[in-house]
Amino acid sequence: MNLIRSTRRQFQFRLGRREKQVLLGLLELYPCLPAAHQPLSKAGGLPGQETGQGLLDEALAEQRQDNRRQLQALLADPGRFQEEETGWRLSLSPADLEWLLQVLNDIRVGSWVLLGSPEKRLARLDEKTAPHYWAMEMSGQFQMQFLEAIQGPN
Amino acid sequence: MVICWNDPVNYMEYVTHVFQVVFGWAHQKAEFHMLQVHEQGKSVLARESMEKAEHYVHQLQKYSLHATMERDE
Repeated sequence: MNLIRSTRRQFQFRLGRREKQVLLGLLELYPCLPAAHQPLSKAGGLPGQETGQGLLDEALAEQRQDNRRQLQALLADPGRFQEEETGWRLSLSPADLEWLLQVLNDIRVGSWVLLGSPEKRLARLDEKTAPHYWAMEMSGQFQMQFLEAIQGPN
Repeated sequence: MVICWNDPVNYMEYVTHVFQVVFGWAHQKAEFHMLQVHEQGKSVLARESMEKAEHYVHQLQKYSLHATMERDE
């Protein structure tokens, strides 16, 4: 995937046919992180912590539903992917790119959690772990390319 | 206090970017806190009222960062 054009309002990327398939396959996995994955506090002892935790879980669940809806709308929008001779052109607004980063990171971190949250690179993969490892690595690849596009050339 | 904890899965560039978006920090400040997380295991990102701290934790967790709210001892 390459950034071919960026303006204040839009980013355009060129993707190969296989890259588009991989990206869509990854996005199908969203949401990947388990609900109520994180505590509001590690040490605890905060006033109203239980209520706060409930509100946080609720807000994150709502956020995921919104992201899912936005993702379905994006995938259904015929103007997003335009076919070209050698692949596809993907057009995204800066806001699209920002939430797509969130979506891809949910898939990356969620896949890592499904791998058992390993501290180091897995020594070997098997039939059960390979798909999660693949999703973690590939979502990371797309994330880095989107981040480079947002940050521009250094 | 709003604290971000280290984990082995989030990219350093991504963490820096999220700090910039959530707190409106310049790249240099965001990178300083990201390095603190990476090298010291955590970084205190803000000392705020309960309500504001909850808001920041929500924003950071929305980006799947490992962030929590702790008492300022």
